[in-house]
Amino acid sequence: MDRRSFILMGASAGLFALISPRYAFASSKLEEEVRKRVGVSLSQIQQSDQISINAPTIAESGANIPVTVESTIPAERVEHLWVFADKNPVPWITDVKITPANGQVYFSTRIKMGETSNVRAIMKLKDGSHIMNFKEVKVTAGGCG
Amino acid sequence: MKILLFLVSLVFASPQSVDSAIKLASQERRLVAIYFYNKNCIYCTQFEDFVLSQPQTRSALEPFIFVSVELYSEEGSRYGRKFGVVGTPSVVFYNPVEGKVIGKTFGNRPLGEFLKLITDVCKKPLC
Amino acid sequence: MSVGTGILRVPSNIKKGEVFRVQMVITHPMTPPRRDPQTGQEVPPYTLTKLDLFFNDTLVSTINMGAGVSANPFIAISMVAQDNGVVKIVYEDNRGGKWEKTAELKVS
Repeated sequence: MDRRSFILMGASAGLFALISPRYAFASSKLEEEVRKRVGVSLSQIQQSDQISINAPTIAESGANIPVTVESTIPAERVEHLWVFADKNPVPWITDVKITPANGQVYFSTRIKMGETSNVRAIMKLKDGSHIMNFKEVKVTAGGCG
Repeated sequence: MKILLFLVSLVFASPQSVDSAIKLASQERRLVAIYFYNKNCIYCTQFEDFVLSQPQTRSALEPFIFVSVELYSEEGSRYGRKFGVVGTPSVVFYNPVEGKVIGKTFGNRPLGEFLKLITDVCKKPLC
Repeated sequence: MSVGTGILRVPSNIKKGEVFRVQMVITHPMTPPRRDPQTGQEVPPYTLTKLDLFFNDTLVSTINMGAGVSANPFIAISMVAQDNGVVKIVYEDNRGGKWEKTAELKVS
């Protein structure tokens, strides 16, 4: 690389950072976690209603939120399932390896959430593609009086 | 030796009672953050896990002298009545020099909201 | 109940080849790393990390989890009733605890 193109590159990178600091630096906890756990970036995952998430719209307490993930895609075509809570300090909640012996994709558990956010389910299919869906769960601030 | 002990107490000071926290704070002209909890309240555990234990909260609370008290203990109910604490979890920000409550929160507020309250409270003198 | 105690339930009346749900509840505190504001002490995490579901010693599913799952985790997952046999769960936590629980599956 010669000196001129090097300077040009630096300048354009600087310009880019100036115009869009958001893109240059900000990558949310969720995005980091998805990249770490799932191995692809969140923006590359298509939303699909072939995954359905059953969770309360308003949770009574953030300590115990029932979440059920189901899919119309047969278990034979699914490899892995992840569940995330977008705004938790650690967004990753759980992940499940799916095999044909599961018969269908059905997974239910209870999770903790610190505040109102999306519950997100991501699936990796056998063909290597990823799909996801999410549902907002409102967590009301509560106390004991 | 005395100076060393004083320094150590400054860094690791985590007063065991509200009385001593307020005394220490007025000596050092600092603010007090008093956390009222109840062992059997799930919202307290939630607030502790999702807000109080988070690194952002810990660094935001550094200017304060932080003390915890069980609301239904003798000392807790005394201060609870004094500061008008309605339940747990509650955090009261208190200026011991002026003898004024400068901020109060009740319930497991989201992290962002709690951090904002700390910033607002911190704008006032002594912080 | 002590930490690690599990309850595993399978339906009693199913046909061969049918898809059914295995349900389980495990006693475990599932605490994240935290600072106890009451004592000021740092408390390391204490959670289940992994649960394997077997049917007749063949792996059906592996579930990884952390402190985001509620205390005393409840899990339900589907599987196929291939034959008569034993449904087994093996689960472990981050402090070296390892337990297993089995349930008999009878198909008609």
